Amino acid sequence: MRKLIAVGVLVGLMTFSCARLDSFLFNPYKTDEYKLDDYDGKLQFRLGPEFDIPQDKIHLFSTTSQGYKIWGIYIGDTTTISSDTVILYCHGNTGHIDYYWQRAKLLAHVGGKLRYGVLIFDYRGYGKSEGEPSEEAIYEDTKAMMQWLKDRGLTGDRLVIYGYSMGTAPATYWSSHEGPLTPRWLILEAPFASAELMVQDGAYFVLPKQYVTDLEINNAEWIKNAKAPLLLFHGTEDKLLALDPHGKAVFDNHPGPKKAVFVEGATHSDVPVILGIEAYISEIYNFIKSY
Amino acid sequence: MRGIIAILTGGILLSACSVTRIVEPIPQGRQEVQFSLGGPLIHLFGTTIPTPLTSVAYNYGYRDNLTLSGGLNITSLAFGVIHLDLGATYGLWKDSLKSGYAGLSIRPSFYLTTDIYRWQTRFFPQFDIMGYYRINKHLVYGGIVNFFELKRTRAHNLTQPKIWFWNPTIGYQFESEKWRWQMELRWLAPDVRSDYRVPDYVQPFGKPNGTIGFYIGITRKINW
Repeated sequence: MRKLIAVGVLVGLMTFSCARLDSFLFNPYKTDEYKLDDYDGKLQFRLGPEFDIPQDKIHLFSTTSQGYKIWGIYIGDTTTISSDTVILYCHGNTGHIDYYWQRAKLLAHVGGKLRYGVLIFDYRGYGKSEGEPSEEAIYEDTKAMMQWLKDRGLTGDRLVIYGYSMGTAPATYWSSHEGPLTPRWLILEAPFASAELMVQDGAYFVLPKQYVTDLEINNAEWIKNAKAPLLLFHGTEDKLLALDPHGKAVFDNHPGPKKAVFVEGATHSDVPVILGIEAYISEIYNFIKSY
Repeated sequence: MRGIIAILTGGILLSACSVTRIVEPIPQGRQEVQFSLGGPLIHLFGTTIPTPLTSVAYNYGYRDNLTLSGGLNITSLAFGVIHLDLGATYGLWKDSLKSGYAGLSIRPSFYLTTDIYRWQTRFFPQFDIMGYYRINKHLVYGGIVNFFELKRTRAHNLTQPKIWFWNPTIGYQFESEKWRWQMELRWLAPDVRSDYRVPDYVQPFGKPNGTIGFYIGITRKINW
């Protein structure tokens, strides 16, 4: 009888061992109201008043993605999207729009104050956005934001897609797959190569990623098909997603044209600060102007 | 995200190294069942914990100086990865020494892992060499656990940076008539940098090399 129970337990474990931790990979922070400059949470940096955005250029809006209401903020003039160049910012895994607001403001100063429109948004489950985060959701929600821009007249040849950390996945994905718009420029900051390399690098061994995760994120392969030129920022002291192998694998696989800015001493989250605010802005501006 | 990935990958880091081991071969014909818990130490959620790996193993004294063993990693199984550990502990040498005796054993073994989703199978050989000293119910031991990655390339055709992982190990066993308790500390991969990894591994001795693994084991003697 004991043997039977033991065998039953083992068979049960094997049969029902579908426990996956993927849903826990996401780190969504919820909020009922965006505070933007009044956000008092921990930030990597805060910009001075010279980077303030006039209130009439900050547009909070929502759209739907697979039936879920998701929220974004457009910095600029929504009535001129049809003729403006727009930077679509795909944020990372931690926090929500408030956490990335300073970064969005930086992008709104590329080439001068409000030269380019900037759209920052929260994926499903983040900030005010409804639903639960998932890998599919970050692609679909990014797609919904691209559609929102397209509905206001934006065309792909005036779209810059910028991905930071986890946001490099949707940015790379929509640069290499057919979507509402095909971005003309791709900017990645602190990208990871793939779920598989993340597992293998963390484990030291060549493990199949299925041992750990169902995530299909594969920036290093997708980017081979990217049509947009690439600007890649990566800190040399990034201890979460190391430049080597992650950033270098992504950069090496991009067909070009491309430029890498490996920022000496920068970690995963402080590239703009360590590089220097002005240098960071200049790199992006020169990149956009060059291609 | 880092925390969970730490559990995921830290849980696999050298987890194939059996959690605790047979150091001294058991007498011929004897059997026992061993339960083990522990893994690499990681910083997680503001504290330091050993990755909670669990395994169950069966040991059989084939000869007085040769113990066969087979184990199953339960934690892996819960996540759909069948992870078997098959090996043999062979006593190379044993001699009286003062109030006890000392010995030397080797343990060639291998790990077979496969997942129930895509049935991707991997094979990892391991070779342990341990010296031990026993006084009555107490046994202390130390040696090297050697683990081998046979693949030369990893994702995106990148070169696998490390093939041979050697892990200095020390441990202690206390034995009663029916039970054996075991504690083990292992410096995992001391020659591999551990600071540029997703898991936030505990780095021993103030150096960014490897991490410390902490393991405990409880063994029930069946027919002793």
